[in-house]
This record gives sequence, C-alpha cells and structure tokens, in this order.
Amino acid sequence: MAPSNGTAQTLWRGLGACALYLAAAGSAHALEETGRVGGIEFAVYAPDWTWQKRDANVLVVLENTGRGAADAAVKLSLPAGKEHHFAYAGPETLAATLEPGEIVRKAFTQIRALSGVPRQTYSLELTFESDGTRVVVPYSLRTIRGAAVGVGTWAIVFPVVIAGVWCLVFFIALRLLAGPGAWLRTGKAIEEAHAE
Amino acid sequence: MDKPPVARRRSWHPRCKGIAARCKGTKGTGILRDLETRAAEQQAGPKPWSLRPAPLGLRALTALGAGSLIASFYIGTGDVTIGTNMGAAFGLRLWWTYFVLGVAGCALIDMSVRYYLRFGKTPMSIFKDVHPAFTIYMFLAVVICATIGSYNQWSACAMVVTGFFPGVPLEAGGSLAALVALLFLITGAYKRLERVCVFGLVALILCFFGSALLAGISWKEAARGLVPNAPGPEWSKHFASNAGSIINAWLILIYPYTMIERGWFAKDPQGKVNILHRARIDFTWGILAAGVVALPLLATAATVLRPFGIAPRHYMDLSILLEPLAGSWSTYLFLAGLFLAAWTAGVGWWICGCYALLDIFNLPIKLDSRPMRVCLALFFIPSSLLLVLRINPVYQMLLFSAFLSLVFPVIGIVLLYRITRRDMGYFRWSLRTPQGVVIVIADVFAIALSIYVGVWLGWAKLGTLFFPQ
Repeated sequence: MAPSNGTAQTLWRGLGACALYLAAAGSAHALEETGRVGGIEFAVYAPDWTWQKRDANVLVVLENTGRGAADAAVKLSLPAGKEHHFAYAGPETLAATLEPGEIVRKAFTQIRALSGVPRQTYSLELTFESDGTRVVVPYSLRTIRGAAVGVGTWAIVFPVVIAGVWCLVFFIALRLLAGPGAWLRTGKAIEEAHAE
Repeated sequence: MDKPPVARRRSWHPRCKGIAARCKGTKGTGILRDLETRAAEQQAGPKPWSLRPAPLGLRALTALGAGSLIASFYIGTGDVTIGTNMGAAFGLRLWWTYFVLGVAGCALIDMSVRYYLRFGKTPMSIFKDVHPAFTIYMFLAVVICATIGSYNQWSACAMVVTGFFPGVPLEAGGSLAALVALLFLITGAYKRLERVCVFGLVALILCFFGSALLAGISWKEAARGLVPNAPGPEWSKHFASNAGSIINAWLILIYPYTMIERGWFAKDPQGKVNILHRARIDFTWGILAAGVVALPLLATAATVLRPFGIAPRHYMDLSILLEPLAGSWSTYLFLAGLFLAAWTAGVGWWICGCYALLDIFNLPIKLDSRPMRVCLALFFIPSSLLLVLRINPVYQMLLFSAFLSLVFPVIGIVLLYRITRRDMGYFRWSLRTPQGVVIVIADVFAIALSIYVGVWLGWAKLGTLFFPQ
C-alpha cells in the first residue's frame, strides 16, 4: 500500500530534520581516558559537565593483562579547598584484586555538585595505582545552573500550586467560551463535533 | 395473591397463551414485564457480542493513525525513566510486564470506545452521568496532570539540547520546543497530527534500537524476559511504576476523541462492530509499540548501567554514560530518540488535556477550532513558566505518578459502573458468547490492576514523600 502524498512529504521532511539534527550535533561532552598502570589496563568514563544539585558518576574499567594476579586501586580526589562544593558519601578509593584476564567494573556514583557557590570548572583527579606504579588522570567538571528550588517538598509543591492557579484561569476562559452551566450538561459526540 | 385483570383478560389470546405458559409461576405483572423485555430486546437488536466484524485485510494498516498518536503519548520521559531503571536493576527480565500491563491498557481503552459507540457521547459524559462532583474532579485532574505532564516533556527536550550544548539554558530549549509544538498544533489539522505521530513513532523506535544495537542487545536475554518471572525482591516496585506509566488514565479517554475527529461512528450494530474492530487493531498497535520501544531501553541500561551498579536518577544519566562505552553515535541516537519521545508526548499531553476540557465544557471536539487554540495557548504559559524552576525530573515523576494513580482508580471504577449497566445494549457484559466472556475477564483484570496501582503507587508513594519516617 503506497502512502499518500501528505504522508510521504511528512516522512521526508522529518527524516531531513533528523539528518540535520544529527549532522549539526557536537560531542556529548564526556571524559574518556584509557591507559596502563603496572599490568593493569584502565579506562575511565565520566561526564565533563553537570547541573548543580545533580549527581555525576565516574565509571572505571580495569583489566588485568598481565600473567599473574594484581591489586589495583583508584582514588578520586575532589578539588583541593573546594571539597565543600560537593556532596559525596561514597568511598574515596576503589580497590580490586584481578586474576589474569579478568575485567572489573567500578564506579564512583552520586557525586553531587552543590548550589550556593559560583558556577565554575573544577579540577578533580583520578589516581590509578598498581604494582607500585601511579598514573594520575586529571578530570575537569563544569557546573551549570541547576534547580531554582530545593529538592524535596518544594519541588513538589511549586508545580502543584502553579497548576492549581491555572485551573482558575482555565475555568474562567472556558466558561466565557461555552456559556454558564455548559460544564454540567452532557452532549452528543458526533453531532456536536460536526455542527460547526 | 389475585392476578391483575389485564393479565387474566389477555391470557385467552393464542399469542399470549404461550407467553403466559412461559411465565407460569411468576407473580404480579410477569406477562407484561416479559412483553416489555422482549420488546426492549427486539429494539436493542442482536444478542450481545454475537456479530462478526467485516474483515479488513490490508485496509487495517490505514487505521493505524490514532494508534500512533496514542503510542507517542505513551512513550515519553516516564517510559524512558522507568525502562532505564528496570534495565539497570534487572536487565531484560521484566520486559514481560509491558505486555501484561498492555492487556489491561487495551481493555480500558476498549471500555471507553464501547461507551462512545453505544451512546455517541463523549467520554466525559460518563462522569457527568454519574454525579457533577466527578466533573469537577476530572476538570482539576485534567488541568494539573496535563500541565505537569507536558512540562516534564518540554524539560526533557531542553535537557537533550543541553546534552549537546551545555551552555544553552534549559528555559530557552524547553520554551522553544513548546513553542514549536504550539505553532504546529494551532496551524494544523488532525490528519497532519496523525501523520507526524506516525513518523515520530517510527523514527524514535529506529533511534532507540540504533542506540541499543551499538551498545549491544542480548537477544537471548530478551526472549527470556518475555516469560513472566520475579527476578528479585524489588521487582514489584518496578512493576507498579510501570503500571502507573502504561495504565495511563488519559489514554483511556483520548481514543474516543480521535474517533470523533475521524468521524468514526455508526448507528447500526454491524457498523459499530466494524468500527470497534478497526479501533482495536489501531490502539493495540499503539500499546504494542510501547512494549517494543521498551526493549532497546532495557537493553541499553542493562549493558551500560547494570555492570557498574548505577541506578539512574535521571533520563539523561544513561545518555551521558553511553558515549564512552558505546560510541558517540549511540549517544546521538539515544538523545534523538529521547527528544522525539518527549516532544510527541508533550504534544499528546496538550491534545488530550484540551480535548478533555472542551468535552467538559461541551465545546466542539475539533483540533482546528477556536476554543482548542485558546486551550493550547493557555497550556503553553504554565508549562513554560515551570521550566524556570529547573526542578529535578525525579520529583516531578514521583509527584506525577502518584497523582495519576490517585486519579486512575476513580476513572476505572466509574467506567466499570457505566459499562456494566444494561443500557449498554449490544456492548453490555454477557457470558453467553466466548467473546463476551473474554471481555468480562479483561475488564475485571484491568480495573483490579488500576485499583492496585492507585493504592500502591498513589497513596503509598504520597505517604512516603510527605512522611518519610
């Protein structure tokens, strides 16, 4: 079954818009670093921007490419003197013992950039250690403005209040359009829709 | 007890003798009652659920417009959030929930369609028929849910833009997305809306699948996920959240509006049965599409988030983590899919909210009408205003699902009360035919599930939000 002219046109326009969108898109802004420390190959993935009051996650993949078992540790260092700009309750160091050929995935999760401080680019560090060798991966994290209201109850109350006020606006506008008492009467569907 | 004279007088007539014989043992005006019932049955036409619809063949494909509108409404930020959370927690093991819940969704839409076909009345008449208090309740529910629901979608559109260009303020991206939707709706006709939704649905399915294929889909796991199972102690929470998303109160109401727009109505029972058949193919496709879209979402989260033990708190979490693990194209496709899902769902929220409000106020159910344009413009203002607050979508989702769940059981119970009444004619509940039995089972299942969702998600979640201890 061939689509109608209108459908075909819409499809082509839509596909064109998607192609343009994807062509114009830049990077998704993420840190991607791979390296080697001792007999361990590591990869680290993390976003390089976050909203204030929102969490960032740092992913670490460790692979033992050596012939024997190896211990590896990764330490996350928050920017010196600006530790209070973040809320992070997780472990500072992640450690693992890897058998030959084993791959271990670890993550520093829920690193929250707090509000109430100027938005800026922070310099964090990830230190990989194994077999007495150390590799430091610098990690820049930029913050942008987050929620205007605090998390929790206000984030729930504000939208409800705005929507509640708007109920009144809708009622007045629709009553003017429909006439008094219209909202209490039931109406026929097809006949009314095609009466205009 | 003496028989009334009228019954004695008629009993000698040959035609009435037979009736009297059948009514032997009945009291009082039994014969008259019998005559009235027979007359009413003759007026009502064929026995319930006894007619077969005319086969549609390939023409069924032409009926898929409103189904796509429904699907694009279904698949929004809520679906993405729930899908990625499920995938991060249990991989593909809970894919089956989409299809079980889809059956309930179909049954509920079917109820509202049956009511519309029986009486030719708009869905809000169901509530007006029961009590005016329900009209007020529905009015408040429609405005609040459509405002917050559409705002969620514009906020997601804005975040997608931020995903590519972090410097662009959320307010700008969200307002632009909402403005484009407003212009599209106030300058368009219903047919164009359907075409755009068909395109949007196909495109977002392709985008999500493309992204998931780059990240890796385990087809074996997917097949295993189709078999109902309980993968862990917390699975019921995810099931309940998914139920709150799939069994969406507005979806039940929106379908008859699309039928009014398309002029799908018949006065004779065979015509009604044919339309019902066509509508069923259409909305089943829409609900099935939600299940299909869930697969790439679950698979992507299972591949990217699950190994690291990350529970996403935001629909953008997954997209940010996708690039390093699955390549930049995976992120682009995921973000494009998310944008399409959010934008079309935002349009869906507005359209459904406007239709319901026009219905409540007895205004014409038409996309290209003045009252519709006024409603759309009115929805645009608060949705854009809320963007300035930049509230974490997790709270909106919580609030929203809780609110929807409070609304839903009420809609479900009123709907059940209405469609089980005898005046439903051909579409009434009947256990005389296999189709009738299936209808009764599906209706009961859907309503029971909606009450469960309401109690579990709505009241329990609201309680946890305000009284955490």
